[in-house]
Amino acid sequence: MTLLLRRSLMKPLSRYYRALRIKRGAGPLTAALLTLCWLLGWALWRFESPAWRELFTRHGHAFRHLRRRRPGLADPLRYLIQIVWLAMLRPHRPRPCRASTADTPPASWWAQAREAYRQALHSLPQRLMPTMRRAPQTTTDASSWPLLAMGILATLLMLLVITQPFSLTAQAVFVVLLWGIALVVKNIPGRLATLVLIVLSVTVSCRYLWWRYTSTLNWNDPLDMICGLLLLGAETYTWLILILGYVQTLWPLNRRPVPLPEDASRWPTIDLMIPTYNEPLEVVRPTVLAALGIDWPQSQLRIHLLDDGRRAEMREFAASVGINYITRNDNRHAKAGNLNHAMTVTDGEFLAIFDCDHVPQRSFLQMTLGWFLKEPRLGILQTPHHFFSPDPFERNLGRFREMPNEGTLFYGLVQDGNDLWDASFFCGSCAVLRRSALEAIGGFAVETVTEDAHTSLRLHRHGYTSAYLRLPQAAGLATESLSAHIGQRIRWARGMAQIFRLDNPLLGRGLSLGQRLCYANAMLHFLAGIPRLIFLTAPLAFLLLHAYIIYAPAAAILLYVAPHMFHSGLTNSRIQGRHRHSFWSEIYDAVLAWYIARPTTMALINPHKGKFNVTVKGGLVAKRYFDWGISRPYLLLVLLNLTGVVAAGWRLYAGPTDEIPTVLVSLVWTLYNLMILGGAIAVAAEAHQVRHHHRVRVDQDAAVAREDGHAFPCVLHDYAESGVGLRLPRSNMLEPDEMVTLLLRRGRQEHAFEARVVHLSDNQAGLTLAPMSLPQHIAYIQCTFARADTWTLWRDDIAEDRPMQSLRDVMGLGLEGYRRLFLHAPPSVRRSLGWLGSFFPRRLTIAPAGQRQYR
Amino acid sequence: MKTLAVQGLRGGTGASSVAAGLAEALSQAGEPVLCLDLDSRNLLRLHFNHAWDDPRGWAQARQEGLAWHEAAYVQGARLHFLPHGEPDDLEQAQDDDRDDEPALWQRRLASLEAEAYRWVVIDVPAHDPVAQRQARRVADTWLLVSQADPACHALLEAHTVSVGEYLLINRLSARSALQNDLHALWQQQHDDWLVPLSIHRDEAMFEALAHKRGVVSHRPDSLASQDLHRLAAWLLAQHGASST
Repeated sequence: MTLLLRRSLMKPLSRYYRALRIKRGAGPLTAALLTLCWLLGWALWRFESPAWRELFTRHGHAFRHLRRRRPGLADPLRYLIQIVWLAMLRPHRPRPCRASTADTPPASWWAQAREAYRQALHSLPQRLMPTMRRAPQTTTDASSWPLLAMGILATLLMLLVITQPFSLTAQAVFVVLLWGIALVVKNIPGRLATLVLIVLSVTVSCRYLWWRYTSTLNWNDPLDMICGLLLLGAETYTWLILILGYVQTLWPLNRRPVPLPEDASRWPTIDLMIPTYNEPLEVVRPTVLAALGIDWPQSQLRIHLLDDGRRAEMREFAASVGINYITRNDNRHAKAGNLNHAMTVTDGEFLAIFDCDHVPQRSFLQMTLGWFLKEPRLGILQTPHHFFSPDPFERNLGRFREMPNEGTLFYGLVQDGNDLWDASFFCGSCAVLRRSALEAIGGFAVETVTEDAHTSLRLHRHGYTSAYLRLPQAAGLATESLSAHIGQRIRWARGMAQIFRLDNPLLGRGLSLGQRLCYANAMLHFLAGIPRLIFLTAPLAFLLLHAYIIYAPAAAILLYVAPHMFHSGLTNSRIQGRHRHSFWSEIYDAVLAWYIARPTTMALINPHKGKFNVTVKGGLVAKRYFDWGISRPYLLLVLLNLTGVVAAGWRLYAGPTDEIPTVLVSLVWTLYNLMILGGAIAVAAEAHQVRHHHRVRVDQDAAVAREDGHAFPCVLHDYAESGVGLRLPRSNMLEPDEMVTLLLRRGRQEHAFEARVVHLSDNQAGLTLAPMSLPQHIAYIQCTFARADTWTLWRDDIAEDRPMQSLRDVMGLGLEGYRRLFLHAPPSVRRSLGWLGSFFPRRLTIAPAGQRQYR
Repeated sequence: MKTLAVQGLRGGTGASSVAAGLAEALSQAGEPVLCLDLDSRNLLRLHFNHAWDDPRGWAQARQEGLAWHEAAYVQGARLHFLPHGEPDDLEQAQDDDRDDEPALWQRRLASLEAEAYRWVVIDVPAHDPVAQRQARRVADTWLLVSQADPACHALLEAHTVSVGEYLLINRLSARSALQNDLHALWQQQHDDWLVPLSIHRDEAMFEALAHKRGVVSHRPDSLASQDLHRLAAWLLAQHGASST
């Protein structure tokens, strides 16, 4: 028995010993001791059992490094350390190596180090974030006090950092330190890094403002003081907007749609309302037809055309397509009144609102209604306003679809950021509202000219929530001319200022702090007019009037201003990069500044004044022209700034030497202003628009069948309500005035439309569609305007922000503005300036083909 | 080597034109193609500018005791085609066929060099069960060419689908309300085997035969050519997906 036992024991022991000795080359003593250890272990645990076997095979690789080396006496310790180490650390997951690395010649150590640094930064959030994510979940009421304490401590430290006066050298060190941290952190992906950047930026900007308030005002000289206070006021305003902006866009929610119940009979009834006042039928028709094509049970969707113009034409059209026509005897309270009146004669559970030029996609209701069924307190859900025509900025600058436009920032980021705070608001169109919620607040708000924002503010005050779905589910026409665009913005600005006065979101009941801040920012944003004008003229106070607006040495100014601008620029570029390119918003703001300055101020003083002006859409810029009326204030500002440049030259030449740095700083500022103003002027040169009906630019597969039976593929180049433009494979494929059949696909279904060739040039053809039956017309709208894929590629092709590239572009644009100004100037001015200009050296212009129209 | 059989659901659906055009499109996509006619009416050759009174072909070669592949013609850098041929005594040849074992073409294609062709496109007659049985033994993809009309709809009701078989709509015209309705109906009923793209009705397809050419080389910019190119791309994608 013992013999048997001994033999059965000896066999594996000797096998273990021999393996150590022969296979792994251990010395006899080591092998013997290790075998003894193994025996001891074996006496306690059954190593041969399947559970242990599995453990060995599963975790064998964790001890690979020990298995590979020659066994040593200290091996048990090594294993122990490795076990403890593994128990404490998460396994490291190697990134997949790129296949090419093996073939490429070894990079220089510098490049390798850089790559390793970059990789390390990239993997940092993955290592940190799991713990970050777990933290809030474990926080309970009991454990929130350490957070509170830390918050108080951090605030105190922050206050110390902001208020601590530094010598110039200390400030320089501080600035370089923060700058270095920002440069490192900006390469780390993830929201944690963004938060760090925000903290840095807030610190620097607060410190700047503190310094401005405490040590840069000259109270002894009245002129200095007045100019200085004006500038300081403007700077405080931008600081406020900056901080509120950070709060607003801290954590965009990126909500996804919620699926509806399978059983369509349980879907709610919808009143789809299309308010119109004076827009022509061609603008309204696609919207109505697209609404007719929305996927929703027919008995539960009622479409209403709300015509405040009381036009017989509209009534007939509504009757011909079988939708409801609602009108009223007066036009009180404009759109809000129109909608309120329509609410009295309808009774669906939900209201979907579309401006008469926003063409809904067929999926609109299915995408949006899910959230309402899930959340009974949801009062309003907004979707983006997407435009398939360029706005005046994009058109006049020839940059449609090349970079984010004004709306992109708002609909791409700000509303999504608002959504986190439950503060996304109604924008008048492309939205769904709950009728019971509207009834609880007494219908759409009529006190201001921006009924949309005010209505959602009231909904929030009454405890209803809002949602924002960042999926373009409708598209419309942008305003045509710059003057109309500015008119629209004036209305928004005035309305927001009115709300700010009449129903201030910072006061009153029912709002959370986040909601108050988001609404306040939305409204304050429109007060940017006067501060912007101050910035555009501030350096002149010194250059022309010799007023020390920032009463500090030039070096100190640089050391405080530069980091403030750098950090806010960097952080905003990081947050908004995909939705706004640096410096461009300066131009948008500059164009609007003059025009919104007066109405907002008036609205703040007397909020009850001011009428509703309808935004004109679908108009026509008949001829390329320069809008002298619009650009007059900017020409004045340009003249002032040019005088400032001359004055700077004179001061450099004749002024005291200790003023030279200040003069240089002011000069740079003036030149920057001139550049922005040049851009603003470039916008005023209206590119002309040939057609009355808006043609939407696309590149989409299509085909044409001729009457003789031949068919060939082509590209749908653009489309409009009544016709299309095609690009043919070669010229002479069609005859003028020929009737053809246009084949358009939507998904897997194909539709045929009769059309007449009206225009032929080279391989381009223009077709006018023959009269269509109603189902055909709906199909046409679905194949074109209401297509899902025309704008689901939305903004994906737009590059990330590269601040330096943006600066170069804006600089080029500034020069372009002056060139256009020159081209449109009266002949006498042009001649004399042209003679001066003939001395200028020329540079080669490399412009995209789209800009050729300005040559 | 991928073997693709093209057969009309009934006579007159344009299956031979599709086979010829598809062979051209595949060869233009860089694939070496052998196009093979199993139809004793010997009409596929007319798409390849074959002389009307030239009787050569694999059936004729067999009757004369020649190797079956000696009657193949070179149609382009990557396109070879093999007509059926017109044996002196057609009835005798058909009797021969009936005696043949079903694995005849399986054996013959297996004897080809492995890299000689990437695709063998076989034009299978709509009403010849012997040829169909032989083609079934070799084809890994089967295109059933049909038109969106009531006759085809009725035939499809009785049709049993085999593995690797796809339904292709030829001569689709969106102008016809009936075709649109049938197309939509088939997309529901035959969704699992309906090819996601169709060949449009195009006069160029008929003209091509009048010019004794395939439509892809005859009218490269026609809609039918584009459809065939897309069909070829779809087949290549299917092939790529199945081989990996």
